[in-house]
Amino acid sequence: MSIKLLEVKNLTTEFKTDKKSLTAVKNVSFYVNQGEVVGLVGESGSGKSVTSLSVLRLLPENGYISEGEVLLSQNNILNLDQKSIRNIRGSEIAMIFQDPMSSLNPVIKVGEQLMECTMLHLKHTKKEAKAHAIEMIKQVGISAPEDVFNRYPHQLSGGMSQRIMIAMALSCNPKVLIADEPTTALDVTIQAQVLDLITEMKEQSNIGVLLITHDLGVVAEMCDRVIVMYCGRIVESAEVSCLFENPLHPYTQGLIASVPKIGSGSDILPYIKGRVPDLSQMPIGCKFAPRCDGAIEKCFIEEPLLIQLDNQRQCRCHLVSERGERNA
Amino acid sequence: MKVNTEIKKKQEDYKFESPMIELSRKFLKKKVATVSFFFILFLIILAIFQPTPYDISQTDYSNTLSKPSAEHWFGTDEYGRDIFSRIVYGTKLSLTVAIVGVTVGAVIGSILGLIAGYYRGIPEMIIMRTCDVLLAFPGLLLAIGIVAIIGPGLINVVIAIAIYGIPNFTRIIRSSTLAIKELLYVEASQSIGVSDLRLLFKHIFPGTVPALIVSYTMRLGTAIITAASLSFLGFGASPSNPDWGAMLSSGRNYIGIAPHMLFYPGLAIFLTVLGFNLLGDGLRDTLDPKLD
Repeated sequence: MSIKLLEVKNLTTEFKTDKKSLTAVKNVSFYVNQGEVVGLVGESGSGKSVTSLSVLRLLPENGYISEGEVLLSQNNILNLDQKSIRNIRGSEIAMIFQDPMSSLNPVIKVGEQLMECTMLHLKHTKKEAKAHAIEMIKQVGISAPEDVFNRYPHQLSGGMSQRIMIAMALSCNPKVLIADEPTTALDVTIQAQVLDLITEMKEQSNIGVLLITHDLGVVAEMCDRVIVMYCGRIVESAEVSCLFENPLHPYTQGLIASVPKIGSGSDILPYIKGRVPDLSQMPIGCKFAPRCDGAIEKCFIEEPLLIQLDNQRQCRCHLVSERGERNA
Repeated sequence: MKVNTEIKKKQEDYKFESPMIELSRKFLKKKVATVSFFFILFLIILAIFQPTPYDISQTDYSNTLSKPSAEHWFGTDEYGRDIFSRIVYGTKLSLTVAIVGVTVGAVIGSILGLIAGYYRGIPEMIIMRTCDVLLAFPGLLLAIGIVAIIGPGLINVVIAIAIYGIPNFTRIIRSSTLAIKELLYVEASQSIGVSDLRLLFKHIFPGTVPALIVSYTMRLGTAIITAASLSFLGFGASPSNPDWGAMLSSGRNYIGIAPHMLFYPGLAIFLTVLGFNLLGDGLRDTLDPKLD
């Protein structure tokens, strides 16, 4: 029986604007088991990053969580005060950001930044922290760790910075790692190395990883389960092989079809027509209906529910649920 | 052999220059700023070692108001005191007053600016509106007002300069803080659980330092003028003290017969302030990566 490290229940995150509050994430529930990589996929603006920031409670000033629970090893971290949440960040749950070059403080040496985390959470002395930092740099596959320790971030390449970020995130042995598009800003060749590194580190310390990405190739490569988000809602979740073999939700189908294939012979890249609706002008029914080829009348009137199809599979679509009823 | 050169190349790649050396090289390319830098260094040396040929309070009634000569380079004043010696001594007074005053102002102003920029909301409103009020006063008037309240004297001039400088530093540091707060590395440090205080001083403050250095240097120039003006008006150093402003003030009565009494202290003020301003300009060009 695998252990649920991170469980998010009915998370709803809203943003206050001048006029009204906008719902960026609505009723999102998912979990991450030990030793598992869960992918969170969606277009820009689908609420992936807001979900991850909500989990760490790092939302911008006008954002707030209006509903739901975030359970980290069975403790609801939404009830904690600022000090306790600070103790959890970095030590229990850590995050890697999209752009490694700007995630490091440009005026502090890399090594010192690595030491910060362990000195803070593991109460290491300077000497211990330094030894640990060098050990971590070595672990993420950088040669000459002592040398890199004394460098400034601008003296590192993008791939190296992301390695350092991973080292920093993992230096206090967190249970859960949130990786927010960790490879988007990197070269393709470096991407594979960084993904390999994340997998390797995951296997070594048996942590749970929540991988946020819009790259389906990365998902297929890395993840055990996938959650597809659209307009702040989960539209489909499934095991990775199931999802790619038999995508149920029209949005997922569209996403998979949009991956360019080498040698397909066509000059026109397939895409999903239309665009993600603005948060303030959400359609009433199914949020994807205006862009959906198969939309029926019901789709525009009534928002479908997220239906549990089998043990691992959920889908939010009228078409799928009606088909299911007919078959049954 | 080929492998060897490759290894060597790799090792060379690892050698990086310290940013300090890079910046000083960039700075030394700016001729005017470099000259100002050495001029100010020279002033500081003068202030420390005090190479005064005569005692500053040694009077010589047989030789009053004499013109500049080989014996008295800058001439003598109404009591026959050597003006060159008094100006050299005045360097120490002016620089000390300016540096202490501006430093105190910079420290307090930076802390307030960091708080205002980081916490926003009510603290920011209180701090920034107070700054607006202070900045609404015409510069010197504020200093005169402060000295009028706490009384004349050099220490009080220092306090006046400090208070007068606070709102400027607060504004500059606040705006830098606002910009830096939004950078990803601040969020990244939050994500590993760094405390607010550490975040402010270890991660945000260093980013504001370039702006701080530039405005600090410029403020030194302004502070010297303010101190001299206060002394000139009789609010600062007592006339017996060889402060540049006080010397101008006592020379005022002899402007017709001994213009050198005004010329040299005035020149000292002018050159020092110019030096600080040009240095500040050069530092800004050096520290701002956008101005290349």
